[in-house]
Amino acid sequence: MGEYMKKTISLSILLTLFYAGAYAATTCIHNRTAVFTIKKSENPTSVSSNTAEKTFTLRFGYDLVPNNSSQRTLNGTATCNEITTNTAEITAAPGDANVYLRASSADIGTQCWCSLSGPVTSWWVYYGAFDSEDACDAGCTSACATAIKDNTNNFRTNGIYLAIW
Amino acid sequence: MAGLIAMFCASAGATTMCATDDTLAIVLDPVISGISSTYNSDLFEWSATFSYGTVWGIATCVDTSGQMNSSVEELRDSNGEIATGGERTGKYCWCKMTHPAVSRWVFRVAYASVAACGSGCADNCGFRGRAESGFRSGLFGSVGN
Repeated sequence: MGEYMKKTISLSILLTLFYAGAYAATTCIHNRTAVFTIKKSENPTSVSSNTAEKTFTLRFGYDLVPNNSSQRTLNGTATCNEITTNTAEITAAPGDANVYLRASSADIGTQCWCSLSGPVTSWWVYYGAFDSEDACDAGCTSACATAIKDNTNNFRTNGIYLAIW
Repeated sequence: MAGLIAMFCASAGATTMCATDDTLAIVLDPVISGISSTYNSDLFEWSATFSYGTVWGIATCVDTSGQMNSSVEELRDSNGEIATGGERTGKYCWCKMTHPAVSRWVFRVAYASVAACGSGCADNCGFRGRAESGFRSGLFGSVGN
């Protein structure tokens, strides 16, 4: 193997896996850079939810981390409380985010909120109201998962995904 | 960040993937320094703002140390309790990014006392997140499932 090729391979291993181009600027992204790419219009291929834990999982048909097929899952969580306002303290509509909301496992209420919990996270996004606390407790988690999967009323593209940053 | 959302290409080996307007790209590069930082020592929360967006995190003070800027998937105190953020059980300050992606717990520094850690840890996490690339490497490099 030629010396030039050895150096090229070594440099590739040591320094860089990814290069990114944004408009005219090109940034070299090394192996300590976190990179996620989410295809907004693509529905998850499958979802599962755990009502007791108020958690759900979204599995996608594409790599969330470029060229890493082990990164195809986003986890989420749901909560029921009595908060009805968005960040601007205006009455929340479905898909609105509240960046100040901090959920607790002790929260009880009729208002259903959804969020992504990892590896990419979002602020809490308002799903809507249930008729009772019990109904919210039983239905909020799967409602979040389904609304994200089906992009109901653009809940995923204009709600959850916009609440990531 | 708008630029990164609008147009993004990533290459690994011979494969190149270019995103379109349909793609939301989240790129956290530890080389890029921050512009400002905030903290709330009561809530053990911090943030650091960059040209591409703001990252948010939590902090904790436990009685187990670590290697500076290195991360652990699960942080426990000496009693075996799992840290979730906001503990005041030791003088060792740890930081974790929570938005827009979840990192592992990254060890930041040892304070002289539990009280000093409690009042300074969140500030330290935010400030170092803004100013120190080695610390950002610990945070951003530990993101993932």
